[in-house]
Amino acid sequence: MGEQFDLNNRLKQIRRSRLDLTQQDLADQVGCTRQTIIALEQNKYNPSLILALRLAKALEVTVEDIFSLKINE
Amino acid sequence: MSKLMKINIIQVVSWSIVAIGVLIIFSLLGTIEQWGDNRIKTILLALLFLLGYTLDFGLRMYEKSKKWGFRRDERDRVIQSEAMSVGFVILVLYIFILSIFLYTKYETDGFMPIGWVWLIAYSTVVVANLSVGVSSLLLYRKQGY
Repeated sequence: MGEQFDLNNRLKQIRRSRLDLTQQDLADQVGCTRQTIIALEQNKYNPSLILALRLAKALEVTVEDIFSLKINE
Repeated sequence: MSKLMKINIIQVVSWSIVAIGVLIIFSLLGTIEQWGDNRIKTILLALLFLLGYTLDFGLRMYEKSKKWGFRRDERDRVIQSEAMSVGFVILVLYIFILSIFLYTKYETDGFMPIGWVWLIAYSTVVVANLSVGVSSLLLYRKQGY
């Protein structure tokens, strides 16, 4: 049996560390809807590579700071 | 609730009305057996479809209008694509089951009333629109809309 992966993210913590950054602000910066940011923060949606890179750029962190792989065996 | 969710709900409600209308018309006595004499029923069905597609068209225009600031992003496209896949499977199953049902019903007769073909034609459109609409609603709900 192969390994299965879950994508975890720290988007909510990182966004909240930028005190004045709302979900709508972040959505506007990266060009998606607020609902997508909500789904991402709740780990209900895996973003495309482009969106992940845009999020990292908007939050001035690396992609690995936001996203990490959790291995399910 | 987002604008996209509202649009989806309106679409599902409008096609549900069409579905109910189609069901009522085709379940009336004689609709299938005497299809050729059903001019009024044919016009009613056409009006129902006009209602469904007019609402669809109106919603598309609303979506495209810049005035409302409507935005569809990558997640919406993913959900739409998944809903289309689910809708396709439901539609294939529906046609398969209906065809088998008709085959077993008319196997001994060797022929079947032409009205059934009209039912398949109309209901295929309704089932396709409804299954995609409902799947998309469920997928949005699953993702916390």
